Amino acid sequence: MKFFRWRERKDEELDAEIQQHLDEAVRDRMERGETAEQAQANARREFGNVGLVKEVTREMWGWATLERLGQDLRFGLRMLRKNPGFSLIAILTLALGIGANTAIFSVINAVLLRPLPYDHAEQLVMVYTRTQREVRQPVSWPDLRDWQEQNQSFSDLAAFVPQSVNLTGRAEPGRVIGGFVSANFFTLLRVNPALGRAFTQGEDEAGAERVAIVNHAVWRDRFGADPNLVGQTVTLNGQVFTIVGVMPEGFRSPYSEVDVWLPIHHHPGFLLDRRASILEVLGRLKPQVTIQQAQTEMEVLAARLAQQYPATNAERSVSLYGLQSLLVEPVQAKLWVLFAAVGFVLLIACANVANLTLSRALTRQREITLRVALGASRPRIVRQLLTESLLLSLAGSLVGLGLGKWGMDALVANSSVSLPPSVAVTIDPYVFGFAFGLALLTGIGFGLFPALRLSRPDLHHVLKEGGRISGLGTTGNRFRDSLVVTQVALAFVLLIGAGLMVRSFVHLLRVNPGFEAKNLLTLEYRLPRNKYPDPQQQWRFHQQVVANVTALPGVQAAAVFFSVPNGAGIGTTEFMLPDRPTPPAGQWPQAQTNRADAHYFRTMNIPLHRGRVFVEQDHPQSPPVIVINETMARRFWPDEDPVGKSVTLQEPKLTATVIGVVGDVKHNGLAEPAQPQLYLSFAQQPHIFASLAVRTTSDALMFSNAVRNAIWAIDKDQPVWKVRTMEWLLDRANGSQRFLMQVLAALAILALILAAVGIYGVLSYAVNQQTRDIGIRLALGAQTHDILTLVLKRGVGLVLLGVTMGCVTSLAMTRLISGLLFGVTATDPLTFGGIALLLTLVAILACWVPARRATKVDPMIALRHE
Amino acid sequence: MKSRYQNRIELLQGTLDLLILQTLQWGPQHGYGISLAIRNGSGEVLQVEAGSLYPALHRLERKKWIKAEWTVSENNQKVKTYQLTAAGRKQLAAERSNWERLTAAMAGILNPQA
Repeated sequence: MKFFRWRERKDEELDAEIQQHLDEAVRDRMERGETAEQAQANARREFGNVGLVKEVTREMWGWATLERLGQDLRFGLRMLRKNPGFSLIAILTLALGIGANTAIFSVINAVLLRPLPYDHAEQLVMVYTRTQREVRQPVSWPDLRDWQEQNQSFSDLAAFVPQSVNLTGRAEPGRVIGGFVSANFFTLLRVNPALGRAFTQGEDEAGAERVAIVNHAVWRDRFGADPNLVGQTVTLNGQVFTIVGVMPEGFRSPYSEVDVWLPIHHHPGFLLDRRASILEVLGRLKPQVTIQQAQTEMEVLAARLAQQYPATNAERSVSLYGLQSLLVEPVQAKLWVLFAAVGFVLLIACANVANLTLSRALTRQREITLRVALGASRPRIVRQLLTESLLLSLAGSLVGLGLGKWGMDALVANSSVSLPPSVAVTIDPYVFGFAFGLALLTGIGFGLFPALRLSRPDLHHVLKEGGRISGLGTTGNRFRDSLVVTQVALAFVLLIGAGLMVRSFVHLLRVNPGFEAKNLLTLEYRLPRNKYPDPQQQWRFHQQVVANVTALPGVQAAAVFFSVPNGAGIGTTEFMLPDRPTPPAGQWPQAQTNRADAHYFRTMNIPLHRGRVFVEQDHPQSPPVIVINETMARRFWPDEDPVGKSVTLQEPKLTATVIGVVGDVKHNGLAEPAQPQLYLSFAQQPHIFASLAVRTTSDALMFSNAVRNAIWAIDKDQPVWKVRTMEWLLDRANGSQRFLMQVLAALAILALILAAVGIYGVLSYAVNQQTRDIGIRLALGAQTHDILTLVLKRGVGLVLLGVTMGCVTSLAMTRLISGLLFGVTATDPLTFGGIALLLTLVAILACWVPARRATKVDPMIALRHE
Repeated sequence: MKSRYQNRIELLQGTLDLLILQTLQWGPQHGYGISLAIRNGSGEVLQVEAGSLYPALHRLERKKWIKAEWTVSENNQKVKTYQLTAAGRKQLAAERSNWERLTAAMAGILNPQA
């Protein structure tokens, strides 16, 4: 308030000072003999533009900037309100661009830029066993203990194994994800439970009390946020555990989601045996120790263990990975591709708004010329116009933030993006800053050139012409032309990226998974070992399940087996052929292994090529038999019949006879290359864990309750999970590929539309500008097609230049996404040709409308126009 | 129109300040008086435009080299007069010696035989 009063007084003083100057000048002139009127007029002329003098003088006062900003803002808002159509289109265009960028950036910020939500997360490192074949293999407990005792690099090392757990005794039997950890796991992460306590030393050893810790979400959802939960008991995998802690709300497992934490020795596969490599190992580096130093030390340590325990460790070394880089590895490439794509869209959007702003110059030229004539300085006009641009882009970024929030939620909800569970994607101050930074950049980006052009009009020309024709001269046109070329080039690159993804996806869908996915239901269950300790009991349960389910109406066949293709991981084993020379250790061939019963291949519709599949007569006492796939048959017995040959396996250790050859199955997604697979007889190798496949006559999902009840009829406490149709599983396996394709395609289409609008705008403007020229041509006898050619030639020339530039850029850029492609090369000529054709056609269509308009010019009107 | 003023300001910036300070050395003066003094003192060669003069005066005032005072003139009008401050006097001396060095250097280049 005080400031405004000060301003007011200063203004009055300046007015008085100038008035005094004029008065004195008039008096002088009258003394020299001029008449009062003459003296008045001459004094004013000599003084110059009063408004301008005041303005440049005011600028010396400091404060002026702030005040001008207020004026500019008020005026800018008025201008935007006066042109709601222009404002709306500009804001929406910018909001789309900024929103898309904000959504992708929020994910990039959370996943790639922000540290993981743990204290000194940069010290967290995953430690793996490294063998010649695999760089990242799990670790055995004795190896971990030796590392812990002997290393100097880590302040601590902890073990972690996720595995599903049966939760019973409270309401409906259910399955939760267990995190089996060593007792020091939480101290290493430096988090404490919100209720109760963490595990204490020794609780991860056999004979300790059975204790468990639950995550916040489980506490809330399963136990109704019971504040007295600590001290109560739950039944996990058939054993009673006391809950000793509840983790705080924000705590997330560093990787793979976990519901309940248990000491490591409760893991079903846990052994104090150097051969049992099942542990994921998380380490915290001491301060100042780099990952390379730790790697070097651990390698020496591993070499010492290899000498000490040659039977198990001869081949073992170690490999270290920063936790964060390991977690983001699977999504990193896709995120950067998406970020580049949305960046392109924003650039195209900016070019369009710049074009719009320039076009509006036509209608504003007179206004601005007048303001210049009335004494507005050029920087002042530029500032004013820039303020308007910034208002637009700020409004765009506000709307864009809303769109971005929506897009971010959609990205996160799409499970196929598979973000690491430990990151939380939110709109944090960085995302805010990013959105508003973009607003500033875009506002200046699309506003500066038009503002500079507009603020330097040719006064005489414009005023004389009544501001009607007032072109922006050749620089303006060249600027617009380069905008169009850039837009077309950017749209081309995006379309190529999307085109390649679409082609990849089509290839992917054409891949035969090796079984029939339609009308196939799968589920998993795990028998509690204390209830079914004997393998024969386990096998009888599985057979009973098959019998019950097969008896259901509408069920054609049912089978128990081990691992669901595209639903769960699959085991591998090394093997060798006893009738061939034994390869040196570490170079044995490998095959994926599954276990199947007598009905499996028929239920799944996996074709039998040779020999036979398992039969009911295969049993633990009969000689072990295996079924192999075509790829294994072709690779190891190219010219022989494999049926009847012997194969020696490492895991489980046995020698079995090949009884049949079946078709290849894609187990880990359709992009998986063909590889040797072998099936053990589930009857000969029973297990507490089993999967069930059910072939139905109609929609498989309709059978899920009936199938579950058929199992509960045998044991009402038996949890059943992952009840899914095979079609859903396959769909999920392709999910991330499809998602990337869809997002890229949507962005590319958006880019195409924006570019088409840009071309249309520029040519329309050009036609408007050339109305007189066209009129003269028509008056001189030019034909319609001459005019069409005239306009189209310019448009098509620009488009072809843009396509050429886009083509060159694409050739350089698609190599970066070749890792995401399937079945097409990054320079696929069909995609390049098709996209070039598509873009050119759309662009010509955009040229056509203004070109047609040009032919409708009436020569008489066009000439009288002047 | 505008650009004409701007060129003058840029051209005269240092020089105009010097001229104003020099003019005020002989006593308080108002804006019109300063412009007259410069015009007459230069034998009508230097015409100071209002668009350069007033920004310069207000700038010098802000730098505290001159200070303004509202007085009443002989014909009973409120008049804003400017006068040199102590800092302004020091600045005048500094700018004068600068100017002399500049003109001496220019002369040396333009008349090499001298």
